[in-house]
Amino acid sequence: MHNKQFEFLKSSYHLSSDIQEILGFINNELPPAAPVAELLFKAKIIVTELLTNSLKHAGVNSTIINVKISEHDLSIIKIDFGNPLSLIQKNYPVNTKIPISNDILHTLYAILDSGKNIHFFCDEINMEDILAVENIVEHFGLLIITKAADKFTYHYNEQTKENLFEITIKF
Amino acid sequence: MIKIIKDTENHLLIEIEVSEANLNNSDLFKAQVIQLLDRHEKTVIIDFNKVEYIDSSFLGALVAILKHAIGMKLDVILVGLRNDVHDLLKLIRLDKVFKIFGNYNDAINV
Repeated sequence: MHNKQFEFLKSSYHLSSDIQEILGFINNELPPAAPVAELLFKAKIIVTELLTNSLKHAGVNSTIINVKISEHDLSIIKIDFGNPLSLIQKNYPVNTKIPISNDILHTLYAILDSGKNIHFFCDEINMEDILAVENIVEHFGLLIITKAADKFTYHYNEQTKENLFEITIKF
Repeated sequence: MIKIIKDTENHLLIEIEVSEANLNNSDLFKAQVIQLLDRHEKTVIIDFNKVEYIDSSFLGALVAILKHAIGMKLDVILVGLRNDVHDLLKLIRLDKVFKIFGNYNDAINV
């Protein structure tokens, strides 16, 4: 198991170099048999969206990214103490598939479990009307992470105000 | 942010002049391209050859531009995408709604 924590201060974000720093660690520590190019592509778009989310939405001063690499898993965990995802304020029933975004290409779902974790996944839709472009959503952050990951979970701790995004890619 | 490379009877060819297409420039990009669509009333071909990296904010801007163009019965065509950028569009299936070509000549010879 290889593990490294990265902390980024919002005042000094340099997205491109911050992302390269994380990708450099992943590249060095992946096992020899791992599909390196595919994993680096997925890690790049996931880390990009996690850091962009902190910059855009969360109102945070710093973001922690923790990367863990084991024999068959790459885990990327983001922690910040900013505003929680708006999904948290909705009283979704537990263990029920809730569509949170829907267009002619995808339906993105959230499922809240009894431990107050939100699990994301999506279905691709067989397009019947390719011209219905006005129906396409313009927010892709959660969708990108969901599609690049094998597992994507979000947890908000009401006591500590910690937002925890946990992403796992299997290889 | 963008530069007009060619202005023909039927279309405009523009080039994105930044290597990082992200939330720092997505709003400006959207405003500039929509202004070009309104002013020239022609299909816009966007050359991405300088773009190494793109995020969800910029993809959202691209979709907003496409919606605006289609509302004017025009189109937005993407050319010169690097592999990572093209792979990201394919991942979220935007390759199903944008016309994408390897380069400008391929786009105009269809």
